[in-house]
Amino acid sequence: MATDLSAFLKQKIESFSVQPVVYAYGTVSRVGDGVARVTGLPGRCYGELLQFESGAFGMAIDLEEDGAGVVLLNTADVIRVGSRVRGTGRVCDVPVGDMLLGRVIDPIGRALDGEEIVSDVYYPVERPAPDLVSRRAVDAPMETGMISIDSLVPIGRGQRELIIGDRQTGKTTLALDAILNQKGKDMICIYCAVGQKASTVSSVIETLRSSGAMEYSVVVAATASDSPALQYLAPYAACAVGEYFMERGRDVLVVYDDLSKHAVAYRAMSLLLRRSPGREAYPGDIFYLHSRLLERAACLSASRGGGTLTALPIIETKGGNISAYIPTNVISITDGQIYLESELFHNGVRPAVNTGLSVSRVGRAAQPQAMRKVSSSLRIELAQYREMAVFSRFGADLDASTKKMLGSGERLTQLLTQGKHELYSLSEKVALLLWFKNSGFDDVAPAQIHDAARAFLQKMHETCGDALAQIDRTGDFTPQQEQAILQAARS
Amino acid sequence: MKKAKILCAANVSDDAYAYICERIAGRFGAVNCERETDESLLGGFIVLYDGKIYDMSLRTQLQAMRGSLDSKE
Repeated sequence: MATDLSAFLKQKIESFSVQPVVYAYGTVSRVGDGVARVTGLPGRCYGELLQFESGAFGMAIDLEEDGAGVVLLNTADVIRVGSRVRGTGRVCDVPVGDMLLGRVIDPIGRALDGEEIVSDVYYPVERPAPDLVSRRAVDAPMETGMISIDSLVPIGRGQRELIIGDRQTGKTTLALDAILNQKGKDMICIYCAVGQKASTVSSVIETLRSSGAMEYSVVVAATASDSPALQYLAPYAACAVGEYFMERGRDVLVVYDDLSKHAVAYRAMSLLLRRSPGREAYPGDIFYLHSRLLERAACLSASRGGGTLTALPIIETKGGNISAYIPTNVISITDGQIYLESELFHNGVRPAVNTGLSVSRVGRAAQPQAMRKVSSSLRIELAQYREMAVFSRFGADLDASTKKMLGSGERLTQLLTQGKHELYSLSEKVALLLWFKNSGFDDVAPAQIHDAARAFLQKMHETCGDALAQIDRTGDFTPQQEQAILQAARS
Repeated sequence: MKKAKILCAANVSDDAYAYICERIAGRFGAVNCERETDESLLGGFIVLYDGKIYDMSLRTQLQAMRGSLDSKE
């Protein structure tokens, strides 16, 4: 072993040829607040990774005639005015590969959980989105395990579905539940934290670890204490990590938590680089910032391996205002949105999905047949219930049919409510909705729905295990299986 | 006349310095040379000329050797 090693070293040293290294250089003329201005540096290119004399790195994102505006990827205290900067000739990249599963990295691929990441393959963080011919229509479901989402706003593999809502409305929990539900479903999950508190990110990692979800997950984190440049790069790096798996035919889910903070980091960076501020002081290319990221979510054609990358971007609104600048931008880019409402959240509806304002533009096509059969009328029922509930607040005398509708709506709302990380399989969701559709819960008080649903599912597993397994396998049920489920429930 | 800066790891003799200047002039034409010492180079020297660095320092060669040892080829 020792002989092998010394022979290897000898061979390496003998074959090493001493050559002068020639590269372009520039000089730091100004530095501060996470950005630097460099003069000189001929031949620089946009997005090029630059190395400062101290070993720190930066990225050239503002090219000018006589120099470049550089965002710093390390702390600025090690960079001095007058120090030299060299171009590395490569753009910012991130290590990719199976070795990342279970790991926590920063946007430039440095391990945040201990052991160094070693990889032979690096992907640039900024890559063009797959072109038109490389794509196919979204045709497979990406189930979240939440009955309200999977029945009313279904998400398909390769779709971009925005999760939007005020602070403390369960956005991250919903995204985490979607990740937890992928256990055993051959899906790679990437959680990208942008500008969040380190303690929040740590608690997310702990949840993933304790649920056994880290085995198929990667966390890319740029916390609030990181430089705006790192926060700006984080979603692109997470997407690049996902693309590696997608290009190998795998299904990938990427959660961007959240793009509001991403936009704020980019605004800070742009203002420091003295770019012209536009609406709400965001720079002019703020739309392109998110559109080029989310366009990288795709459902690849069979000739490209058939992999998918589903994106769940999160946007935090202020005071429920979804028509603010960044929310409307991202709403228009994505294929639908799940709107979480504070009022519903405080009334105990979890997830607090506002079904009226939530929509999935492509997911319905990917919804399993079984779910489609039992959920087709839910949205209308809920809408009628909400409308009727408003009138009933006036205390007017209500006729029997209205009372029945209100009761049914209340029970349905309770049925769609789920505890944190309490997820249902497809067959469980279908059985519950089938039983509800057949007036099975009509005699149950709304407050008792949860207990009744739990008892119902237990009974189903005991008596109709085969039918449930069949639904999970095929995504559909036959009239005979439907009858078997209803009969077992009635018995 | 353009300027070239020569950074050496240690104080070099006038003869050695004159030789380096001569070689630079041979390559780039008449150049006004300026001398500085930078111990962090460990050995060798680097020339800064016309926006480019011509690096013949021991520090960079050791880094290159490290890269070569790290690579699997």
